[in-house]
Amino acid sequence: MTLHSVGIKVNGLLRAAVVPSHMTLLQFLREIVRITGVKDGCAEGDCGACTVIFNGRAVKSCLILAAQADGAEVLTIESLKGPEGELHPIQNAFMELGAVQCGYCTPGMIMTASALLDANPRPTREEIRASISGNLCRCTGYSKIVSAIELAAIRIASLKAGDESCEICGKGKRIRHE
Amino acid sequence: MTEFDLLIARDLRHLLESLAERPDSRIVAGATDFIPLVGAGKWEPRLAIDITRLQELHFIRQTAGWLCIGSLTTHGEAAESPCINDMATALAEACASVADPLIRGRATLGGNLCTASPAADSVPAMLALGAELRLVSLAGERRLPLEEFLIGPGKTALLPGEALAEICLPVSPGHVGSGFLKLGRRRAMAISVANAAAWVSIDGGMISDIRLALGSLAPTVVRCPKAEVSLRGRRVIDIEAEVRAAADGDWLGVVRHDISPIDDVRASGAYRRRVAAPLAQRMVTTALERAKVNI
Repeated sequence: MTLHSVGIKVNGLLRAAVVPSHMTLLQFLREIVRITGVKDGCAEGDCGACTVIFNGRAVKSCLILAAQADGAEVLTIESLKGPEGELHPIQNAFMELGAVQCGYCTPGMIMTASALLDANPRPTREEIRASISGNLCRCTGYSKIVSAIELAAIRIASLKAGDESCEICGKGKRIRHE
Repeated sequence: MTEFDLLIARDLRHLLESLAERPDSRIVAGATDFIPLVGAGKWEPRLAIDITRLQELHFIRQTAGWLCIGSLTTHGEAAESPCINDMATALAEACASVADPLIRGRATLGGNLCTASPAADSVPAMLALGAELRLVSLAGERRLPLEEFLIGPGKTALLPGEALAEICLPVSPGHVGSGFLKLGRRRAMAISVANAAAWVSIDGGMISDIRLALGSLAPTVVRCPKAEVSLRGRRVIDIEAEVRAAADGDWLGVVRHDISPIDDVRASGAYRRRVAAPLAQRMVTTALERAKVNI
């Protein structure tokens, strides 16, 4: 085993630590930074519960060595909350549409969705399904999750457009979602 | 996870010097195979050398007659690259079908080659496209056709101290086309039960050249030399007529002589033998259609 001095920017804060060579980024986030929104599901890259945004791209944090992440910028579910602690439109949409049951896959699912919507603000249902194909949900099933991401996309787009009919800013009428 | 020493290589020179000093080491890049396999105790490296900082191995570039892809290129980058989609369609399709989007953003083409799984998806595509590999070491460099690189499950022709630097695909000027298809249990995170890639060149309505490669059907990904011989020189309309009539051309019987599938957790050898020919036929047809569009 070797020890490695790393500096990783997590949700905007630089976290420096000395980590053993076999420590994964997932372990670094949960055990050293103590960010437990990142879930430890299978720890071998199959389930996607540990998904974070790594240098702008959604990845499985259990498949990256912490030492490899030196100098990287990482965003977790904790980064999505607003300045007043308000939830992100993707989180609201998941709650409203019942896209959450046990909740274990939810942070990973939402981080994948967040990276998708950054790159493709109005994805089709098929594109949403393809993007979350590496995130497993064993209770809710995927229909509501896909619908929630679709709804979040519409709301984020109208927020950006300054559309007064957006529900989140409290003005105008509720956006209907079929 | 089993403990190992880790060295973060600063540049290619640092990597090659470290490899020469420590022949017991294993290179780690995307780590998408490394972490699960070390975790399961299947790989027990004394020293792992991380190469993710080696920007000199991270490129896609076109030079006279070749499309060259650095070994650190990820499957996601290859799947999205316009020039790979255009000139090496089979490889773009193969890369888009590996694992899932999250893993494709990390897993590298060099890693897929060096792990040398018989079920790898990018490898049949590269084989059908006629890939040559550039291998580097402190002693210098050599080029090796991909066929000679693949030796057995998990075994490659890499010598101690050597690293895979780039994958070179010949770019043919004529009417060429290629395609890749995999058969798996689901669309994401499925290891191929069988897969196929074909590349064809058409001249005067005839198949002037063809390369057909199959995966998960032999100890390594394999070319199908017998089927290729029986297809070379055939008229394109005859092959198309066979497909329309749902007839098995004689060349399809030959495909079965080019493979030696086994039973495993994903499928029986008998099933694999059955699906090999339709997969091969579909990919030859797809490649022919694309070659005709490119006329």
